[in-house]
Amino acid sequence: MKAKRKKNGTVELSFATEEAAILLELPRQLRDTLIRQNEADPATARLLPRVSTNPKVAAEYKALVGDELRRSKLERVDEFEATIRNAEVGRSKVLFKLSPEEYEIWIGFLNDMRLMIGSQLDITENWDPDFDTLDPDEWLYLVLTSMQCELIDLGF
Amino acid sequence: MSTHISGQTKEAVELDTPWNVIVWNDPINLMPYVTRVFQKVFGYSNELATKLMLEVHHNGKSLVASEARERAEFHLLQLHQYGLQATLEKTES
Repeated sequence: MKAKRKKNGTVELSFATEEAAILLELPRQLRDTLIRQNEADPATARLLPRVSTNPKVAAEYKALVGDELRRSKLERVDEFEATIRNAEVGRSKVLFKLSPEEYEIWIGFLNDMRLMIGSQLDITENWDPDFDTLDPDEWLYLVLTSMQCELIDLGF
Repeated sequence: MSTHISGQTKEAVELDTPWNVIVWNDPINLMPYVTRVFQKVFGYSNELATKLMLEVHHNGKSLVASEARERAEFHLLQLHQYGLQATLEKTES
């Protein structure tokens, strides 16, 4: 991926076609996790974390805020998907032209994807992957991390 | 001296008591990302946001804001939307 921010604030991301294909599957994965809310899946607790160490405070907050966090994350998945559909597809490259708001959507979406995969892989501070034997999820986690680093460098 | 506190006074004290927003360390969120989130959510300077991020990283958690409950709840939701592990805690009054 090549990323640059234009003077007018828009962000241009250029992907090789096979790289861009990775993005297509991501919204479905995150959406499924958010809809299912499987308590046995560590990604659920990581994406929708506890709100207080005090159960009474947590219950009062839940009564006030309800399902807003999950709803807003699902909305961001839809918004990310919409930017994918607006890509300019060339022979060997795919170009995304993101407004400042769409750029923020990408940052938040990619972070949620990393939280989902990272918690399922049980990533720790000392995680030291063996690049010769990466499984597909480890590989995807590293690709998304690299992508997010580049996006943050553009001035998140 | 009487130590009796009326219901009304107790309610007023509770309303005035600040609530703490705590951010907990996690191994997934990137350090520059957390710093920027603190700047965006709370309007902190880069220096303060970096200091708080490092506190989270080295101490396992950091008290990032102490404020009225409604505002703390609003900030908590924003931090969760950015994917940070944050909790709301009542201060001892």
